[in-house]
Amino acid sequence: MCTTCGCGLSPSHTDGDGIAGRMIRLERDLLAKNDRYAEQNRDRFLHHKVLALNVMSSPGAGKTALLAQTIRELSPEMRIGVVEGDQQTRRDAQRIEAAGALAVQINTGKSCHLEAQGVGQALLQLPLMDLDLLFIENVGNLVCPAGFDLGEQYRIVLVSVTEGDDKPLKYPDMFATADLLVITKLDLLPYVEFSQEQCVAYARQINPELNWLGLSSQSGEGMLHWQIWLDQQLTALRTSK
Amino acid sequence: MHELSLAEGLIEILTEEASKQAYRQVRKVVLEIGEFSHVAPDAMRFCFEIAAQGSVAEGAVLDLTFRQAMGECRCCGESVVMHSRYDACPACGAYGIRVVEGEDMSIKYIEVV
Ligand SMILES: Nc1nc2c(ncn2[C@@H]2O[C@H](COP(=O)(O)OP(=O)(O)O)[C@@H](O)[C@H]2O)c(=O)[nH]1
Ligand SMILES: [Mg+2]
Ligand SMILES: [Zn+2]
Ligand SMILES: [Zn+2]
Repeated sequence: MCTTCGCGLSPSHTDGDGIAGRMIRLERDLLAKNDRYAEQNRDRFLHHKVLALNVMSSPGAGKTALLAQTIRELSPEMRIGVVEGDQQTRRDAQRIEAAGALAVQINTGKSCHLEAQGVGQALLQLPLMDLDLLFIENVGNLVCPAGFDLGEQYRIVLVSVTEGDDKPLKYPDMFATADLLVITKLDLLPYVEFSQEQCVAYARQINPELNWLGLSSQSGEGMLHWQIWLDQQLTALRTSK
Repeated sequence: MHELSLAEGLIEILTEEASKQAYRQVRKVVLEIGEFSHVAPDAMRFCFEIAAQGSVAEGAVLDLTFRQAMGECRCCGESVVMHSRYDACPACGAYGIRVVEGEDMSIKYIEVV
């Protein structure tokens, strides 16, 4: 045990140079900084009554395809902005712009998730007061984006039918904090072994209250349910004080 | 890499505390990591060493300790040691145990001069 303060962490608080060190108890959370920025983002969304959704999945589950199709179907009546997170390129932002919405690309470089501070900077480039809906497309990764609050109101996790219905058990963190599970690429169901019920059952093993819906942004199947879900959240946001 | 941004955040905190707590140099950092946090220990040590260069924590030892994940059953209220997020409650068999502890990463102690 340490002889200086009895902390049990180091046999002695003296180092090679012989100078006695002192122990300081800190209790500081590494994510506190991210949480502060997330709070700022949340305040801005609420102030402008923008519904902000953090969209997460493995790479290729169909996030950009879903957002682009949603924009084609709902804008300009619904005013939509998108923050795009990818390690490299502006390709997804271009797909969003081609669909008819405003997009800001954040290139995360080597980072595997979006953080609240970067999202906050991206928000400066969007006219929040003129938006109804803001999608934040996270970096394609089913692991660590779950650990970083961006200030969103809801978290949406996508699983495509080509990924296997046991994804929730393999990557439980993401499903633990999600508000809505969207099973994508339903048009491919005939070609793969995937049970929507099984996928949902696994996800609810982690998060019993998780809502879910299935759709295909290619065939349009299920898109109506998705729109209804969006409408419900928007209405709830607008009627809140 | 994920751990690099965490390590940079850690250095930022140590730099900030240096003026508050009046120290010149950090010799050791005791970081507690929840079992359900997203940190790979080796990557964290490696990134810490890089991020610490030129800072008050250059050359400091990073001591990682793990904190068991604990949860509370939504059904019966039992306190549960969690091994995974999808375990059933050992008391009543219900799923969906709420994580109470084990997602955080926090600095517990630092040794400074
Ligand atoms: N068949 C089918 N393909 C899809 C669907 N949605 C996306 N894709 C394809 O899946 C690939 C990845 O989609 P993308 O939207 O870029 O995924 P992201 O990485 O999650 O943004 C692309 O080749 C899309 O054309 C769908 O509903 N059906
Ligand atoms: Mg994409
Ligand atoms: Zn990450
Ligand atoms: Zn129970």
